[in-house]
Amino acid sequence: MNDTELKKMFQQTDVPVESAPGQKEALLTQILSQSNGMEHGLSAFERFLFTRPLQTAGIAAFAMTGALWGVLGSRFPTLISALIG
Amino acid sequence: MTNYLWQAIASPLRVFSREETKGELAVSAGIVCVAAFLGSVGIPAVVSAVRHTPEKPALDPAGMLLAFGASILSWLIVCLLFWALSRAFRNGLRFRQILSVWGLSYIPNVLCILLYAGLQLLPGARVTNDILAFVIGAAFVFLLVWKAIFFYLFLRQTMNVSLRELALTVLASAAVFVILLWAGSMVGIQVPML
Repeated sequence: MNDTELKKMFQQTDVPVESAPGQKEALLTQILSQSNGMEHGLSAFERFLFTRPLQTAGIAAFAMTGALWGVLGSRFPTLISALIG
Repeated sequence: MTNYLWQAIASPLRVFSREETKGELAVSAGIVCVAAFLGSVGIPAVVSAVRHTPEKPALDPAGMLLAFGASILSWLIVCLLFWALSRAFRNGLRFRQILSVWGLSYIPNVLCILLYAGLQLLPGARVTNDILAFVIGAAFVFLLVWKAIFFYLFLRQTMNVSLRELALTVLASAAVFVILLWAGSMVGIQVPML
């Protein structure tokens, strides 16, 4: 490497590095997620679903069973009896 | 072991990860074995011993052993399917990791078998009360939704699939599940072991 190339290289390294828009925020979010034991890429709903599965299943179960009862009416106990065998 | 179980029940996000932790495979396999044993040997034996009906079912040790083997085999087949899909998607998931995590999703299966057994032991096993039918129905739906959450968590967190891969995995799983359900019913498995 001659002097000219060496000078050019030093000039290039002196240029301040600018991060792309949103890169710092993405990095910060990733670090915070990892420190909380959560993988990045999960939506808020998915995080709620995966951290409170019992509550979610409970709410869904009551809603779905209630809807089924509403649709079937008096035939609902018969269906349950048939399922039990 | 109890720590794993508690985490899998209350907040499964940490245990359904790719990080391999010592003893996780043993816990996972243990849960599957308990579910398989209860569903194929334990509960049928208790029901047969306790329920006093004229059409009292006779115990079939060979059939029970077959159902137990089929339950364990269905777990391995589903894990093999996930492993094959992981290989196809090139997301670097090893078979041991799948075995270690997917077995944890059998906790609702164990509870479903116990609930089903409890209802089998009821005299006559007839539900005529609306409220009782609602409670029993809600309990079964609760376990079904819980299992579905485990399935979705496994795909999103452990397999780390994209939206297109998620759709493909769900379709492939549904086809295999239907075949396994049919095969399971052929060997006398009453509560699905998936």
